[in-house]
Amino acid sequence: MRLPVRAVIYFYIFICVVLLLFNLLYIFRSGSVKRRQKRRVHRWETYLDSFLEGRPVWDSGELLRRLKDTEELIAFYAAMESRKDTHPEAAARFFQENRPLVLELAGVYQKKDAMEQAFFAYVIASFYPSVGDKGGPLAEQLLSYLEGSTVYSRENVLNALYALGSAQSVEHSFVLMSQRGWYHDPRLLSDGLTRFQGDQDALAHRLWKNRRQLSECFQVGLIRFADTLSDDSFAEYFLKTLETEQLPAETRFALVRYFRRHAVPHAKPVLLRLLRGDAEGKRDISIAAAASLASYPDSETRQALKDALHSQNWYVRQNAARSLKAMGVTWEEVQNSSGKDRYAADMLKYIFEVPSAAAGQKKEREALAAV
Amino acid sequence: MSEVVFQILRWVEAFFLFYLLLYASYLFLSVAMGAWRLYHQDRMRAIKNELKHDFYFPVSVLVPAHDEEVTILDNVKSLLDLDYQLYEVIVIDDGSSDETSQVLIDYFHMREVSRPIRLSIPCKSIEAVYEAPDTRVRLTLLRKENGGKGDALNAGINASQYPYFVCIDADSVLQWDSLERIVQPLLEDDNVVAVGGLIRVAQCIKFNPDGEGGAHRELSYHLPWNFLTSMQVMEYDRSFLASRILLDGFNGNLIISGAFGLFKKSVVIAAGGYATNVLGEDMELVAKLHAYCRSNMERYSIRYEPNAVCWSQAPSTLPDLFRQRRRWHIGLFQCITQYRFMFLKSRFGMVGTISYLYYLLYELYSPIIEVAGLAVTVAAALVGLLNAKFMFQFYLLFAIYSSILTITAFFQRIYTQNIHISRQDVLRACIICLIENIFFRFVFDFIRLSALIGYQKNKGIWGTIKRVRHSEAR
Repeated sequence: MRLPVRAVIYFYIFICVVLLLFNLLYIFRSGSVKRRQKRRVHRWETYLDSFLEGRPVWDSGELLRRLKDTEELIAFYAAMESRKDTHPEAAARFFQENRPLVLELAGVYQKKDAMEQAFFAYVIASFYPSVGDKGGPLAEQLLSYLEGSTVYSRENVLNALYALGSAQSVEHSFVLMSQRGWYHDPRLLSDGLTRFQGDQDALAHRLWKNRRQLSECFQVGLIRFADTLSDDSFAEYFLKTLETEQLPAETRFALVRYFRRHAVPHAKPVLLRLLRGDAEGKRDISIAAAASLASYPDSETRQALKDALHSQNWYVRQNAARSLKAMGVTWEEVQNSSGKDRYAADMLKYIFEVPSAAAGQKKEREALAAV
Repeated sequence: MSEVVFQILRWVEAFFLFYLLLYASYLFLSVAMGAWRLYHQDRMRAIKNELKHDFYFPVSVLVPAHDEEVTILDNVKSLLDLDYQLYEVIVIDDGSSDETSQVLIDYFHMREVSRPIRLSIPCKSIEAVYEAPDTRVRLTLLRKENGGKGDALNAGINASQYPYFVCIDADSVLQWDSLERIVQPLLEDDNVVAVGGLIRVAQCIKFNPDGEGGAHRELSYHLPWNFLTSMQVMEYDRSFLASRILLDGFNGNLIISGAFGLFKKSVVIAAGGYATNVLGEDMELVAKLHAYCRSNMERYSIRYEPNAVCWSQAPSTLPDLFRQRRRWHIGLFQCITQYRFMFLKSRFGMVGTISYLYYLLYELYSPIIEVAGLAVTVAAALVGLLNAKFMFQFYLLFAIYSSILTITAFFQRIYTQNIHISRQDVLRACIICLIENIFFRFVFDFIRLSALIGYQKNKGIWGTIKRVRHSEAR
């Protein structure tokens, strides 16, 4: 038995030495890789300068040959970045003059793995000028990257589609990802949509029209995006939806929060009803309603919020007290509202004794309403 | 008779060889997997496979503190200086007998408020709540009756306002980007309920006291001169970094260090919060989350994020190290015995088999097994049954093997985290890991064995470790 054991240990040691050598080689090699990459970047900078002067040193065949290599694409990206400030027009000009080349490259990268596809999409998102629905073929190629994608490549592909400004492609990608059951964080979606280079309002309406094909995270992302738009054009739709449709919890929350920033008069009765829904066992949505009602300062709302101070839900009491304070209600006015309810009295006392948030804490107050 | 003894010794030998081979395989797999994952992440960063965003997951940072007047101010100042958009800091003074609270009250001009606190989880009575009026980030101090670290964290959870919380030890310092890093897994997957960060030894870092970009950005990295501390640097890389990356591969981590971890508050509350009657409340919580989510058929994921770094002071004297490891081992014992129902149950999948078995055999019972191995070796030598040459060769081979793996793990981390170290430190690292693997593992075995033997006597004793200011820690 001893010999095989010793042999196994020797074998393990051999593998470990290989692993250690691999690490050391990797570390040493990375130094030369960095130097080589620096030279590549320099070559691309030289090319870009010649391109901007109208005498490109490489023809499209050479460009294609080089950019097929991911390392060259990384160097190209770095060179573009370095020229971004001095020649802001360089990227747009390059991509406009080399559209067929980029399309062919998109096909080449389609055959590579998700990580490299993600990087190609990242380059497109960073530099490709907005072309609207005319960018169809490129957008189609990018959509095909979603097959076998990772969360990173999906994010980069979406960013590329936003940059192209093709509403149709964005819609396709959302529907496709919903059908596959892929989760994408609503924060990423809503922030990403704000970078859409086409008509954002039209995109939002187009997506909302097809909301039934979208999964919950995409619906929430869309509602948050609509929340960032300056007009109240979604208020009617959202109100109707809130009143008539069975919706997932997070979608309902997002809809109620929308009416905090977009205070339209006919939302008030709905929000009041939701606030009072507390008694019907729908406490969670009452929490959001209590926060949103801060934007509807009148006597009816004040009374409803004062009543909400007696809610069994801690967060409803907290948001109601905060909203009352935000509406400018004074301590003298509310101190009797709590009656004999110690919980309501405690909450009011705390909220009204704390001075208004310092500049750095204002964001926190906003967020608290949303949590 | 001698035939029987000989037969027994053969079985014992077979057991130990099998035990060692399994351990060697585990070590190898963890370092290899760690290498692959760290290099993969390195490559991903290089080609922009990241989720960089102006997003925020609001996070409450909970700092339980008991008699921490020496380190608490450094710690809180560093926490207020993190590069993150939205978070709050809650310090929970768990019945300190020193000036922990007063140091903070004086420095930040905190004032007492009548803040109502929702008792989602039971905790000892909160005597007073203070808030700082002028800080960029909301800073709250809870002064409560002493109830232990778990109880203090439960009080912090009750007072927290955000849906995620991070727990951090009062003697630790978070790297400036650690919150941004630790929330990354939440963006990738909405089923994540907890994320562990990477704990590194604070004595390796010299912080920039007045430098550009915040007071707690690292300035330089060196292996500490204290041998015990340097040895722990090696041990952390091998055991914590590599091993946890491997277990993370199948959602099998059974521990997120109490020094730095992020949790989804609603799930922790639903599972019952931190246990207050154990010494390893951090491990107990993670085991509890596994048990809760699997018993309720909830999809969940517990992740490990090696890019989220927390600098924690390692004990620098033998008695302190002894106390720390004894506490860890008692905590491990309590957790493993409390969650024995998970063992080999199909419902608990890989957690109940591979993870549990690893912690049972190679963490909890390893001191008993290894000391028993030594005893058998001595006994065999006494009765003349020992092939001394083979034993010596075997032991040396195993020590060299472990040393190579340790040094590999060390270099991996050094490289992937873009740390520059001197040649002198490289040499010292090699020597230290050799000494650790040849000699020091027996010291650890002794400490852990004594923890098991003295369990009844020490099961409720936390033990105090001498604290120094971070600027003086090296």
